[in-house]
Amino acid sequence: MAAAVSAASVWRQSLAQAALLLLRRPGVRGLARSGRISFYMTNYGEEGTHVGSAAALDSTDLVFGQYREAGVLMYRDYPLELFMAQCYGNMSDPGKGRQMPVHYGCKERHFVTISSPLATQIPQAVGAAYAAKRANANRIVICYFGEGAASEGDAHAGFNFAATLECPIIFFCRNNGYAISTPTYEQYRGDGIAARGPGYGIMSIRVDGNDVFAVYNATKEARRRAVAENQPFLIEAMTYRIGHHSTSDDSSAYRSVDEVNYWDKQDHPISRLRHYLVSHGWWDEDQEKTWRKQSRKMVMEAFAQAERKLKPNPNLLFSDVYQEMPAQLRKQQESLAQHLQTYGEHYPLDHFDK
Amino acid sequence: MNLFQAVTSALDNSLAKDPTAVIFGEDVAFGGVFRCTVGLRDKYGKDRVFNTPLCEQGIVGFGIGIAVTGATAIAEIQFADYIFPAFDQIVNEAAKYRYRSGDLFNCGSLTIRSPWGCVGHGGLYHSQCPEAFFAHCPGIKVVIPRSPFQAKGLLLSCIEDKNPCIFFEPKILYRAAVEQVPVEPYTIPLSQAEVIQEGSDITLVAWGTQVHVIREVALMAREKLGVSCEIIDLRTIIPWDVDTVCKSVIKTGRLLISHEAPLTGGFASEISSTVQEECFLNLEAPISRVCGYDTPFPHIFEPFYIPDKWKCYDALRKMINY
Repeated sequence: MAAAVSAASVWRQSLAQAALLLLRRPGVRGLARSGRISFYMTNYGEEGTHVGSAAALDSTDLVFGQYREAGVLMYRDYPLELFMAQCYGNMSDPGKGRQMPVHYGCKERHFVTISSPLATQIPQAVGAAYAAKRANANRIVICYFGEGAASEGDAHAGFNFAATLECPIIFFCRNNGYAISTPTYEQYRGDGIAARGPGYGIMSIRVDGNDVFAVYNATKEARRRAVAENQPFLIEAMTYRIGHHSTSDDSSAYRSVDEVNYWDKQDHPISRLRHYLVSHGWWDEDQEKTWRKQSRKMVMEAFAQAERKLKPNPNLLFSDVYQEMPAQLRKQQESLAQHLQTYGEHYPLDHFDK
Repeated sequence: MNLFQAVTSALDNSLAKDPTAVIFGEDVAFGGVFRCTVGLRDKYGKDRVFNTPLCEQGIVGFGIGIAVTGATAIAEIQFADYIFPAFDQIVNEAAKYRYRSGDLFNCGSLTIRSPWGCVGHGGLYHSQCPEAFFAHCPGIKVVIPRSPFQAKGLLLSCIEDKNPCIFFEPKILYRAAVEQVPVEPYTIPLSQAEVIQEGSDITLVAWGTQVHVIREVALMAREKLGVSCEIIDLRTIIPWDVDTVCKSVIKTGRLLISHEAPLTGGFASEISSTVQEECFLNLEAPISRVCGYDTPFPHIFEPFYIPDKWKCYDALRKMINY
């Protein structure tokens, strides 16, 4: 009994922290809107899917994401400084400033770098799971994608390969109601994504994505069986995208404020978790206030720090295309260097590392 | 060994040396439609040599995922004509994996092999040479052998190379080309063209099957015109060996490039453009490209379509007389 209580308290701490941190990531979207970063994608409303699933995995399980899974990386303690560095493309970005914001990646935390093309990660995740099976690593792969990406051919390919090649993988679909402006009624006409699983021979379950414990339990069981049985599992987590698709989107153009408010006020994963914690006496209004203030401060400090940093040296435009730099590319690198010697005043060199 | 046996030998060496290496694709388990994987499943087990469902985008995506974990993935696409469903995975994913992640992740241990080129009766969808589509994609390597000995060495280099590679195998040579090939592993360097015959009057560049065509053309040129040809097998399409080709053209002053793939946008255009930049003052005649026509690859008209030795000879003759 004592063990259960202390486990629960560790649980509630980590969940509360992670969830509330995500809830109150003040103004990253505002930064993009004000032009300080070029672009951003929020995760509002889907925090339960991130934290519930991430908590059920081993820390070495490999994660392939789509782009709306920042909470998974956050759960694995990826520092705010590095989230910000990637968004700003500054010289602290482990990605070396190569991609748009939110295209995070972290080798130590086993989170494969995000790419923009949708669903391409699905067959890749299956291959990684196959390799994990062969390596007897007691490791699974989890692959996140939205209900829109599930329409891509790569999703069909991935599901079929996972089943026929008996791969220890969890397919985790965030069904959040929209693919940019396209509602689910225009995305598919069958019974969602979970119903497709049996067509491939994949055990599937649909869960309330805004119930963090349901997500946790489903992922936990799927992981246990994936390792034990070397087969894929499909979890469709029903949730709602409270935010716009991205900072380039204004969703009032295609959905009502009333609809968004319902989810924000009546069925929000963080509110539901908070009510649960409060009802057990594990959280209260004062802790809430303190934590919000603290997390806002942490985030604003991380912004300010990230914004002050220089961008990486322009030579990093040319490296990592191949493991080694080909002769022709080296020539191009030299030609840019020469060009900048004469025309450098027309380039934002002051913002870049020398 | 013939060419498909040389491929089998390379794959055998790879799986013997590297316990993570796996081979997969359509119909590879029973030995493959061109017999390149015969015997390997029995020798190495069904978890290492296995069929996938019929889905090229899945094959390549799956292969990328294996490679991301550091294991060696050798994927087969049954005909190069069918590589296009996998184009997104190759161009947008494999080629960019290392760059976009800041070198945190890569799929360098992926090699894709695929039968390539005209075969006498292949028509639109069993004859294509798609190297030009991939030449425009920084981040991958594209390699094409002319013979069994070259095939084994180049394939082993591709498999060991730390970048994703596409290895196109001239299918018409699978059985027709036979030569001594060592049973033990060996490698031939990538991005190095080979001067297979030295000459002084004109440089001939080709790859794959077409190298044998220009070899014959060189004989004809010597006998009928007294012309001395320098023959270069490019071997790696990207990154390509600019220095060897330019060094040769500086010496000879004339360049003829020949490939089966259609003329417009074919890889000869890249070579021609670069050579005229680097060797402009050395050129005695415009650079000549003898290629397939700008049509899909026809079935019954194949003998008229291909850039055969007569077309190459005629272009050479015009260049010499320019």
